[in-house]
Amino acid sequence: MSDALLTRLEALGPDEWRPEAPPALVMPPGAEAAPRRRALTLRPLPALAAVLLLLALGAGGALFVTSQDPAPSRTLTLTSLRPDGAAQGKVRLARTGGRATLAVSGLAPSRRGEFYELWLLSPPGDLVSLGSFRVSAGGRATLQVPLPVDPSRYRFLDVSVEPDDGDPAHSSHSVLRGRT
Amino acid sequence: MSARLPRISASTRAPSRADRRLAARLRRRDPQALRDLHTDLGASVFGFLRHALGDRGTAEDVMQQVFLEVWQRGPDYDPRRGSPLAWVMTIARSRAIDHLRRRIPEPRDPSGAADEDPRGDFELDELLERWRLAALLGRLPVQEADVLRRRFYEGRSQAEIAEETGVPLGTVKSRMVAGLARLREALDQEEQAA
Repeated sequence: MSDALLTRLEALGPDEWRPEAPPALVMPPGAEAAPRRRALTLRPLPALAAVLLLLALGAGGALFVTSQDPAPSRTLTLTSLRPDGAAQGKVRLARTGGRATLAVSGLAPSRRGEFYELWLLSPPGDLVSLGSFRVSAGGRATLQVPLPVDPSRYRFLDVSVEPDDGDPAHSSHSVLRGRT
Repeated sequence: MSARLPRISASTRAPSRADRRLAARLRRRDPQALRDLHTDLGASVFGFLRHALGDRGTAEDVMQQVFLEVWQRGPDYDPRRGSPLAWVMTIARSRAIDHLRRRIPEPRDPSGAADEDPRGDFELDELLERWRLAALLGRLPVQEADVLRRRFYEGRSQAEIAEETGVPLGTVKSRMVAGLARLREALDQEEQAA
């Protein structure tokens, strides 16, 4: 098993070791409107434990729960890099970390052979690609991506236009940017 | 054409709690379950499709078909039959084969050579296995995956990795051992029902 695993690892190419960010997920029609039913099931032991804990802690318990609430999600604003540009974007960083949601509007619809890419960057050359996406004829797009790094370690969120030429580097053609 | 059908196994596996929870969310049509699958597996599915189909635009189109099918078939996903990774990759393989067949002018060769797939099933299966492994690598802690990449892709020795990264040699060794162990365990779980 171990030899086979090592052989398989040695056979992997650069793309498998550093996979390209996938295109944004297009939610199937009706998926967003689907009711999110979640059955409320009472599990006897955890419920009993919770009741006993609350009784033991009294009012202090409520204070404890409040103080342990996770920080709310942060929303960052991206603005157009063109003085007359109407494009804008918002990036919401999930409160639990590890995920970001981008919503853009006013961008030029994606052309054939081009796509948009979301980056974390700190000049002059510290860059992390977060994901690629296309913009519809209406100039809007949304993208949900995992965050492989802590965004606060980077100065900017950046959206660039990238030619589909297989070069993973930033094209230097940025259209939106905002401070992290 | 003599393309093999996707492997169908009657054997079952003991699904993890996370897999059972995902199956329950897919059954109740939770859109977030689809987003989570895309976040976890999207890069590997897209990598597989891009290499299988050879064109980014086509791969993007087929990728959307794959996740549409995942959504449509979600309520039927049975984690005892295979992991989410195996399930989604099987769908991706099927849709890739559909696309490859569609773009071959038929018949290709009246003498019988039309039975040959331009990208053979064996090659496609090998590609699929590579990207399944890539998906599992993507779940490793970043530091362990980095050591494995330097060792097995860049061909560095452990001492060279320690020197390049400034990490003590003992830590490099322990990260490599831990990463390989985690990867073996993940592969074992993946291959239980295969």
